[in-house]
Amino acid sequence: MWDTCLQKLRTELSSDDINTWLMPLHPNFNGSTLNLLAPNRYVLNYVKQNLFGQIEAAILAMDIGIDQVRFEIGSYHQDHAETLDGRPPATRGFSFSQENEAGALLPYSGGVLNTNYTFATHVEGTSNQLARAAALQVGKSPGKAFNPLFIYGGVGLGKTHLMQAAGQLMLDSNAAAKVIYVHSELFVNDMVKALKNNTMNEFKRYYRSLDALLIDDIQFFAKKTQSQEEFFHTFNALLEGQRQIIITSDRIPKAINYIEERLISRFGSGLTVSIDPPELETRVAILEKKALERGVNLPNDVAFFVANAVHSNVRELEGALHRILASASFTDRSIDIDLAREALRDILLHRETQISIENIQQIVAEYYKIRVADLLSKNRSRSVTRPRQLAMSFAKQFTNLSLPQIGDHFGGRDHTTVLHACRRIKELVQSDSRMKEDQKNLQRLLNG
Amino acid sequence: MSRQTVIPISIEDDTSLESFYSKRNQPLIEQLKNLLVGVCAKRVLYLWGESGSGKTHLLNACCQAAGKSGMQNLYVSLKQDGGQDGGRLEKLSDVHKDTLVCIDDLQQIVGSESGQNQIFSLYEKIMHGAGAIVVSGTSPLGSIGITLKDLESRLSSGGTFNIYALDDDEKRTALKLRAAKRGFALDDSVIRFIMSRYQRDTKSLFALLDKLDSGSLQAHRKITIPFVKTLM
Repeated sequence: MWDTCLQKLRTELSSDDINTWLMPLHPNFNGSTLNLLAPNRYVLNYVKQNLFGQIEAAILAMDIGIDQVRFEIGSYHQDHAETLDGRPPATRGFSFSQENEAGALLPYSGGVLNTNYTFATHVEGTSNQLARAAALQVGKSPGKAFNPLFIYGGVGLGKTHLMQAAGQLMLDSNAAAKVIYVHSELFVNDMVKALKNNTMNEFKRYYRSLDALLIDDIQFFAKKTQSQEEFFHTFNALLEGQRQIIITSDRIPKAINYIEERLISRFGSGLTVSIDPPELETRVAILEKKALERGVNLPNDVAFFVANAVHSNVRELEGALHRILASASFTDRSIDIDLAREALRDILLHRETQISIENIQQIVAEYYKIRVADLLSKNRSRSVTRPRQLAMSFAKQFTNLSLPQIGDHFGGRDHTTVLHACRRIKELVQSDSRMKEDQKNLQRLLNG
Repeated sequence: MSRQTVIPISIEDDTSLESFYSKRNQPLIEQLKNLLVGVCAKRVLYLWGESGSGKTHLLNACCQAAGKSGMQNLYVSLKQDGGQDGGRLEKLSDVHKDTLVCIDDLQQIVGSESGQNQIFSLYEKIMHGAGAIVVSGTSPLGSIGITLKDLESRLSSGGTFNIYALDDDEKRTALKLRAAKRGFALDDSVIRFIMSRYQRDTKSLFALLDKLDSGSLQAHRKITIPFVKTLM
């Protein structure tokens, strides 16, 4: 019905008005009232002040039993999680904005489950296989399978996505379950506020009454002893009641500094799983999936180019994709490698100054599908020595390290070994076409 | 001849996204507009450029646009904090979750762990609400030196944009437009003279324009090359 209304309005309003102000609105029909949810106050006010009359007239003229049009800021609900159309995240379970504004139901920061974070939208790879399986299991049998589930890994690798996907699954089987997601930083802030306002009892009651608590980036509890104390009691209360706890961190429990021992040992009492940086194929798959979610078919060579340029984490990968899509959209150009190179020039620039021996080892190892540890080992089989020699020659070419320093970085080898490696690669590149190809490909990868 | 007293009424240059003159920055301008109306995939954007490239103008323009439509907004320059924690940064903890927050000069908090934590905390809060964050710095995010990697990756998630500095042709046009707005015309020969003899960063050029504006009023002089020479 809203689409029909938009069609009608297209004849009265400019396409700029339609695309800029009306397309971001989300309709919610409630009896004889049409609630139009705006993504923020900026849109809400503009539409109310400038377009309200036309919208209301168009709706009333359609004669579909709607006699009132209202505007709100939403936080809208949707039943499926497949869309990713650029609006603020759809939420599920306890709707933070609505309940919170109403007052009592949700006085704290937790509660928002982003419906975009599901297992369907998660890209599986060898780097996150185990964590995904564990989260899936926990989502299916909360409080029983692994409790607590502790997921750790570097920034932007999808820990939050997996923990929330597990939460979504819990809600799928029990929509009334109180599944709360909260970032540690906000948990601490809430607690500080509760202390200030003398409402600690409510705070405790709230967090201890949950069916599942998903707490993100627990390392932010470091040095906050009072919050740790409170969390310790919440943790115990939930665990005793067989309520599910999922925790994420950027490192294994034992490596988190300034957190009490008793908490650390409890974190590790369930299942601890890691997420590693995604390998090249997974990065490509992620890019293609994210682009498709935005209705764009990303050419394969561009996906490979971006995946090679951005190694570190999924968040930066996503940022790079947004940058490319924005450039393509506003310059009206098709997406190709040239456009991607232009759009990502700051990342590539940074990368040029960033070619370190560790980068070289990682890229070479990934290319030959061996481990970095193999390059540093004493293994002398050809499948390892050739990549090692190639990595050494790149280290000489791209870094300012001396030959002895390069040798040190490859498991303490002598500088003559490095010299030999460089000479050997030079010979092989001239005589062996495969080696020449490998060197060319790797050079391209290193230069982004 | 007595000098004319000039009443200190200056014409503020229009701080809007539309008045940011540069075709090459159009994708960035459009992305900022999209961010303001909530049609970006992420509600965060990082932009970087050298001093005088227009970062402050853009951030203020975003706040102005948001303000016009009643959206809460806040512009914070970390430079004014002298790189110290607290003060301005402290205020960030009181920001409402639906606010558009524009943070200028991110490079100023490179050495401050607590400053980075405060911005991280703000990010989490805004992402739980319906606000947005636009941050600027003088170099790409990856090389600016943020030690809190959680913050760096979050700020990069909406895309990072380099602000292209105006080239000489664009600077000439910008000077003409701004002069016209102040009610006087700048002759091509004068602009050529300024561009070849004065500092060519936009900040200095626009400051000179203000000097020319009040100077010509005071001295009852037309803006000619000899007159410009006296003020340079």
